[in-house]
Amino acid sequence: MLFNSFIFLIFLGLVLPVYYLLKKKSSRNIFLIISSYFFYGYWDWRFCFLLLTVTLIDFFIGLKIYKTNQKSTGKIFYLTGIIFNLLVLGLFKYYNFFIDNLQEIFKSFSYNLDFLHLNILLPIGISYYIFHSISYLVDIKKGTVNPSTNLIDFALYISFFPKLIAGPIERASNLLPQIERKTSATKEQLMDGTILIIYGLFKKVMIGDAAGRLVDHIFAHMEYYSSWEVVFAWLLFSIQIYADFSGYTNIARGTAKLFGFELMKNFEQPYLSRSIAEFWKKWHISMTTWFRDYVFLPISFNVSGKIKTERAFFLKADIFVYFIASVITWFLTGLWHGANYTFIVWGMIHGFCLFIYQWQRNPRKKLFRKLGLSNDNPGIVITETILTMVIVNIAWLVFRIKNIGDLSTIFLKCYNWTWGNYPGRFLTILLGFTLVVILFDIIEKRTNSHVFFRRIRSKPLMFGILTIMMISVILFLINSKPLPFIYFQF
Amino acid sequence: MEKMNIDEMKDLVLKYVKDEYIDDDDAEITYDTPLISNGYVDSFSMVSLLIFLERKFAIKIPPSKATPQAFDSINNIVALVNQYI
Repeated sequence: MLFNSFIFLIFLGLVLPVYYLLKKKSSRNIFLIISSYFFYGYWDWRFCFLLLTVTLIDFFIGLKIYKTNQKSTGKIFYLTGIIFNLLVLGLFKYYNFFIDNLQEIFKSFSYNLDFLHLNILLPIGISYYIFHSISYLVDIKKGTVNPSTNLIDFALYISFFPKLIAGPIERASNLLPQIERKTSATKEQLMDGTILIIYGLFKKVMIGDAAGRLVDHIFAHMEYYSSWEVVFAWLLFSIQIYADFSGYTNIARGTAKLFGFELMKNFEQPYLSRSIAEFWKKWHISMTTWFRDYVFLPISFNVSGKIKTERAFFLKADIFVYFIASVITWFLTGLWHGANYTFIVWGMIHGFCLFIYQWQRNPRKKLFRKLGLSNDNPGIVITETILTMVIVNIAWLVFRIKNIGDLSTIFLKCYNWTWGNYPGRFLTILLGFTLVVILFDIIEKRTNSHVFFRRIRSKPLMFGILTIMMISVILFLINSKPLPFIYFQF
Repeated sequence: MEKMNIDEMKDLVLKYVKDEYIDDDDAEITYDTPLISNGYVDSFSMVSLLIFLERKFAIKIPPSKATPQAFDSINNIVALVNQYI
């Protein structure tokens, strides 16, 4: 079920009052689980069984890890749980990709491995709920979280529909305590939740989908478009993916608030970042912190323990450790997004740029001191922000194309540069979308709030603006088929 | 390793964090300032800081204890180091 569809609005309109009619915490949680499974099964009911299986197995393994944590059997349960989750993810998401690559190798020996291909559908949101499960088991093993002793509560932690399909990836330490007590929304949450849903729908439908239709069409028929129009689609994609995913997150967080639950922020104006490191502190925060805590830091600390010298391979020890951990982490981050080399290359571009950023950080600081330059010099801030956006956009191109070979088509297209018939019109569209998105970000940053509409002093004006936004969304939805969220495929 | 009291350790770690990781020379960092949530310390800084602490104080901090929470303020960092001295 898509957030940007009438069926979701009807679903929410039915689930919300029934939730508040139920008085007992357990009845509310059971009802939310049933609703979440309906929400998930609306897309394909068969995958509800997979969700249920993962839930049951991780619930019992979590309890076992906790009970046997001090014994050697604890490690066995822990490893079993992690391997089980990785196998589920691997089978459904990466199996055919793995066989395709194996087939390429065996082709040179005239072996055909076609028979090994399986007709597997990718269950929507699998990367998200498997990551919820893995972090839950790791945190129990580390002793930072106690396992849930109530299967209902745990099942809701995994399946809670606002975050089930595309996050935020909630840690058990944040969401489970909220599930374990009877949760009702305060007036503030109801207000903020409604605003977030309208704001998110506006971003998704009016910016993301509107831009997405142009982007999808041009990328699908590149041969009919001029060089500038292809570059336009490439740049517009960075607006589309941001509006799409941040819009989705606003709707998810807003919906959760209506039930009294607080989900973490996933975006903090990433396109206003002045370095690639800052960008990753502000883009898909729940994913980056997940990879930081469960992949990057464990690798870094294990590698650093093995290096006893000040330098390794001509680099300072800390930079060397960062390089090793970054390569692995960003390879996996890219792969997490999908079984395609484009995502791996996208991840490696970011990993490499992060390494360069950390490597130049101290020399840059010393140079600035020597030249008497302030870090807040507006010229430097603007230059660095633009440079960051250039890197992010180059990486988005690799993310957007269907296969690496498309890059040569685009390069050739740009080499034989053509403007097309309406260069000004495309520029106006691009600037228009960009300005709206940047304006929203500047207001969010200045007010330090995603519900900045509440700062409007005149309440009739605030309600008026929100009503106009909602009506435009409804009109747009009536007249066009909703586009799925980009991150649903991951 | 030279003997240090808690306050000296805090000053040493604070100076190291300011010198190495904070671009803005005027940033006001106290012993309680959240370093990670305020964006002063990132994943690289955590790795770098761990290497510095282990070498400076001749200790070994287990990877499982070097969590983002343990690095989120000067007070937390010094408390972590003190467990292994």
